[in-house]
Amino acid sequence: MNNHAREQLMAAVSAVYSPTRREVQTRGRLSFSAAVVWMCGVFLSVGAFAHSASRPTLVTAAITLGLCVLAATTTAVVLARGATPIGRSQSTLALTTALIPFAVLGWLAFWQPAAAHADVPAGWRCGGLALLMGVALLAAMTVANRRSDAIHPRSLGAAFGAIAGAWAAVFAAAWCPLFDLPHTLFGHVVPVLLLTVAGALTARLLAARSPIC
Amino acid sequence: MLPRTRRIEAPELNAAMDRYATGDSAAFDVLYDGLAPRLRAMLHRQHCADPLTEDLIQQTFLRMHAARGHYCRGQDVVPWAFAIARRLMIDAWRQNRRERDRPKRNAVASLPGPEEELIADETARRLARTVDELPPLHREAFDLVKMDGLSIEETARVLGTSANAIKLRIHRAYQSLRNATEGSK
Repeated sequence: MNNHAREQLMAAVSAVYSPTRREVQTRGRLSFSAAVVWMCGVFLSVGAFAHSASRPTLVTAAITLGLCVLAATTTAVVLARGATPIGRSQSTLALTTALIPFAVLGWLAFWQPAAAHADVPAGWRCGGLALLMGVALLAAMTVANRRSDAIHPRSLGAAFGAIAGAWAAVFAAAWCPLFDLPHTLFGHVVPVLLLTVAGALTARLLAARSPIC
Repeated sequence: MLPRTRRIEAPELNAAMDRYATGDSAAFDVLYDGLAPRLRAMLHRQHCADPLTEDLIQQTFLRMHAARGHYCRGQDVVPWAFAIARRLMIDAWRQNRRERDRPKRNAVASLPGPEEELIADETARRLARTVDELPPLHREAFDLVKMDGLSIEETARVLGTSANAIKLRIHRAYQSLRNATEGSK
């Protein structure tokens, strides 16, 4: 029976295309480059830092840098595969995913006195901007890691969404000089949550399953 | 095919996976010969029937094949394969709603040669029963380390927890086994 199973498996493996490491790396580089170009292009087209010129430069720098550190740290935590291809444990992914929206809100609220503003709008523009950029990064991460996770693709997808949201929040916060709790929640935190949900929905693309499984 | 008696060690398997990730199809034979017997033993210990075991092994290798491009040089392939097989096994049990009807470990009575004699021994039966009655978390850690030969760290990666948690689970499993053997004297 074992020989029969082995022959069946060999036939299945040779019938199913699977990219090699070089192809995966090329795909990853291309998709991430495209996402970065897109995000920077969108940021520049809406006025970049000039839009937040009414806020003290040091505050803008501190907010942006703090969110950058958050995004970079969580990205390193999630993407680091470590000693096996298993990747991070489900609890680590879940914890990182849950941490990001709270950290974004906390960091922006921390700078509230310096950035407080009257007549703050609802946050549609900030939310739209964050989604426009975050979706591109989420798509890039999904493409780069397509069929990579055989253990917990849903958790990984959600973590990718949260990371994309964190990087999008960096740009949105650098662009938006306003602070007001409802505005921050709607325009800066809700996009992170929406991207997290979108990431979890991409689990089928991240799952390492063969078409014949 | 490699001789059945030769056990392929982890470094050789990692090197084979590395070659396979770069597109060397011949390396798949080494992976299969090295991993399939170990996966089969692990799945049998978890009471998977033969057809399901073979199906899960095939699916495990197909998933490894699908994700081969994401394998990085130097990573341990054995815990990865075990983690995939374990996940597939859990999914299969859930899908078939068989979890409640899992047969007991002491029902295994067809092991070959000396093992058959060992199982016949009353103490061994008691131990097998005790292992079977361990809490699932303890039993799984015990099986992976003591039966499948994975290290504490590898077991922690397969089960998605810390090495300290695995040490604690195995310690508790040992305590239960010690109590069982002392009770039989």
